[in-house]
Amino acid sequence: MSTVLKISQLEVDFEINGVVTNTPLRGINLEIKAGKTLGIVGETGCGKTLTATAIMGLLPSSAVQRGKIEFGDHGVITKADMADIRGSEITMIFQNPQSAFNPIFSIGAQLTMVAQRRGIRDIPATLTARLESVGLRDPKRVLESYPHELSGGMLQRAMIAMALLSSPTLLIADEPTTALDATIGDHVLTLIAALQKREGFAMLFISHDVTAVAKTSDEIAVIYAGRVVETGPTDDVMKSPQHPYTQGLLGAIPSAEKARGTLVAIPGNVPSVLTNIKGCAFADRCSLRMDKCAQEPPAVQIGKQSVACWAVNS
Amino acid sequence: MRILWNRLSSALLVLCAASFITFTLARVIPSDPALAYIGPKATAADSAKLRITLGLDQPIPVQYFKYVWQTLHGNWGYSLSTKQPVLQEIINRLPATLELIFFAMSFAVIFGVAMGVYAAKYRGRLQDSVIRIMAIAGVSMPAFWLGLLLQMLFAGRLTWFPATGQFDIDLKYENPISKVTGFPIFDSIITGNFAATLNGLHHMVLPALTLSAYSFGLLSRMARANLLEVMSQDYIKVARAYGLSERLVFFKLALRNALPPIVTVTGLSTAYLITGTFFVEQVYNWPGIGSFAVNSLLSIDYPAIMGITLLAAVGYLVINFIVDLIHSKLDPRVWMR
Amino acid sequence: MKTKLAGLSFLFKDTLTTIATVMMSIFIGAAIFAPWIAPFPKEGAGQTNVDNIYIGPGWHHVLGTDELGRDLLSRIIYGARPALLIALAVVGFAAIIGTLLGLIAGYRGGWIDNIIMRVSELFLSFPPLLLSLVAVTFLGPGLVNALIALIISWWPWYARLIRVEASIVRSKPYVEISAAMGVPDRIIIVRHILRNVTTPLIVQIAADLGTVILAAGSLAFIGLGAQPPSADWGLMVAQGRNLIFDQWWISTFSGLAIFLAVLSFNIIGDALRDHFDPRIARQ
Repeated sequence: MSTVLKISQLEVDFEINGVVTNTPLRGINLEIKAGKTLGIVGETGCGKTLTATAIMGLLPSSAVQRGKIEFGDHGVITKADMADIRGSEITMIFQNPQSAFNPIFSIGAQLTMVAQRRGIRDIPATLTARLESVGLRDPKRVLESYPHELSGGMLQRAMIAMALLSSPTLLIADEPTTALDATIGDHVLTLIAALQKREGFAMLFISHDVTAVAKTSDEIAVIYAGRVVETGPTDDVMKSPQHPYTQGLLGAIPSAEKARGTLVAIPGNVPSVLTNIKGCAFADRCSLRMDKCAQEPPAVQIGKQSVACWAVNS
Repeated sequence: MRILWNRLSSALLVLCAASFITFTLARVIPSDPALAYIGPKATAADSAKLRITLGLDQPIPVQYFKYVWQTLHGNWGYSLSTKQPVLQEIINRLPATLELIFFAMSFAVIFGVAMGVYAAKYRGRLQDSVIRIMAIAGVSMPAFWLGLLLQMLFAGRLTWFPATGQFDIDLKYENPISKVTGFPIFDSIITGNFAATLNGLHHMVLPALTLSAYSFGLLSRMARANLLEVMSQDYIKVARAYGLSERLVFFKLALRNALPPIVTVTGLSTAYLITGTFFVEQVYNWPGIGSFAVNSLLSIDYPAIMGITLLAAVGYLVINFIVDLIHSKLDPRVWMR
Repeated sequence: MKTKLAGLSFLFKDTLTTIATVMMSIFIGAAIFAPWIAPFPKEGAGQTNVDNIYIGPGWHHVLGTDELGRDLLSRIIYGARPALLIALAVVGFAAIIGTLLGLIAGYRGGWIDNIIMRVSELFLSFPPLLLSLVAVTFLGPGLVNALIALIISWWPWYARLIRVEASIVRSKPYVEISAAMGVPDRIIIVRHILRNVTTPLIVQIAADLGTVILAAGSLAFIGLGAQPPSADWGLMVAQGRNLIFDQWWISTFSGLAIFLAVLSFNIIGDALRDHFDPRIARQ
């Protein structure tokens, strides 16, 4: 199976006047196969969205990016290459559909702008068909409406339609259901899964909600403090999480079975400024902490999973 | 449609209230309005007679209604200084002021917004700093001082422009302008009297520049600030993520979003222009409402003052009304409520 | 907020702001220490010296002398007094009156809110300055009357500003809880509302100080403000008006004083607003 996206040792610094102020990404390694979904899960601020922004080539000029990003047939791509690829072969849907659409243009106008950019012929028919494919039953009305007139769920569907206009190879979904009600969010996830099956795009699904990620992804990558601490097939990671952080994360999920026990919370907080971290970033919150953790643990393969933790590495 | 009706009715309300305030100021504050009306040199008999003529012996509410009635019927009283009907004076002088305001506003809007946009585009660079300094200087400058400075420099020392007046004095004889609309410069264009047009524009430059300074500063600051705020919005990032060109993003999307508040500010700054004409017309001897207003104030010409105040309030209202209309057309979130 | 203001470093954040801070300090210093700073203090205060009329700028009289032989530099220094006085008095009273009324309106709501707001809108329906001009005309020229006229025009801005902020804060949960718990109104107002209202208030005041100086100068220029022999800048510009082509220094330097004073207040007002930016509730 071909690899659609491969990220090797992606690091991102923010600098002001040559002085590094923050290092939000300290070495990300990811791989997405064609037609499959990779889910990225982690707490707010761990660098998930930033990874997506880096992939899209949209980092601000104060950011310094290192590492390799390989995409499909293009091989290694640079920020300049992304100007052509983004919006066509790689598209993205965002967390807050209300603010993602321009309030003074109609949905139709905005979709048309994107369609024109892609050189699509017969735009009205294409848009109507697309809107129907995402489950909007009255496409004409949606096209004529303004963002503030539509509900969150409808807007998110419209955004998905916009993202699929160019028949992308890779769709990045950044917290697509976080701003929606639970049931609506569920519908959206089902919709995305159905569309993926039908049209065959690969997906990078980003969320802090482990359940949503587990539901949609073939593989999971857990990110903590700018590094991938564990990856593997979803079932494997969910059933036997290897990294202490993943274990904590899964232990914190409320469910009917746990209704009688207590929810486990991970003690401590995510480190704030990630520039001067020596060794494993999770160490001071970890119950398995050892002296060796003063050194950054390498990723080791355990079965189909890859884990970066000294405690597992024996 | 309902919004239109709402705006109209509240505008009318404000108008009524405005007339009431003017009336209060003129009749209630001075201890003896009749005396103030005819001046201290009048005899007791004269002022007693005048009191009855003006209806000052009647209770205030009656006076007020009489005033409103007369105003609505076009009787705005007689100017104490010129002895002419106030309404007539105003009509005679309005075109000169309106033309001045037109040119000043056009300059302020076109250059103010353009430079504000330019400064936003080149944020942080030299152009940005220069424009910001110009803008803040514009809103800090006393209009009368700027007028005098320009007069001194460009009319006095450099003689590039005339110092005062709307046209050369000889124009009446050499190239008189036929009256079509009553607006001199436009009439001269319509009737093909281009010598007069040139002359008028030549006289217009310094006063219009002076009058536009404040609005220019205000608009350029607002344009810059709004544009920068719009550029940081999510939907702009999304547009870029979909590969839309930077040119499209900046000019079509961002600018359109930044426009509505700019339109509102334009309305507000027109208000400053209205009172600004008082000073600019004084300095440049411009035959408009502004100089008439100042003279009326200094000679305490009650009817004239009340007429001008009413006019200013009406003008302000009309401008804001139009501005609101344009604003709501531009921003769908407003007209859909 | 108190700690942020104690760090007055924002006044020096860049070249322009630093220059403005220096200018403003000079302005305030001139107003306070005029008799000690002015080279010809008696003339600054109004004493004429008819032998010296219309001397151009030079060594002895740095900015020249005016039509009554008074040293212009001294007059300008003394002119800082009425300017500062008017600015502080107008903004001070307008802010106090406006804040009081705005607080009441925003907190109580109901018919009081309606009345106060309708009245404010009424005043605001006139182009600014027009109301002051008309009021001063009917009250009679003079510094005090100009002051009153300006206060009359200015308080509605504060009333409206405070009222909006007050009603926003009023509907916040922690305030409703306090009220429900029986905390007396005045304590709620002081503790919660005032605290949130302080920031936009300060920014508005800073901006207004400059604008009031401009307005007062304009009134004086027409002749409706301070009267001779007061060393009011606007008045001085008017006095030099007809001499602008020959004895240009009189109007030029007096107007320059107004310009620089207003400019420095505006720049500092901007710096203040940027400083508080994240805290200001945007409508």
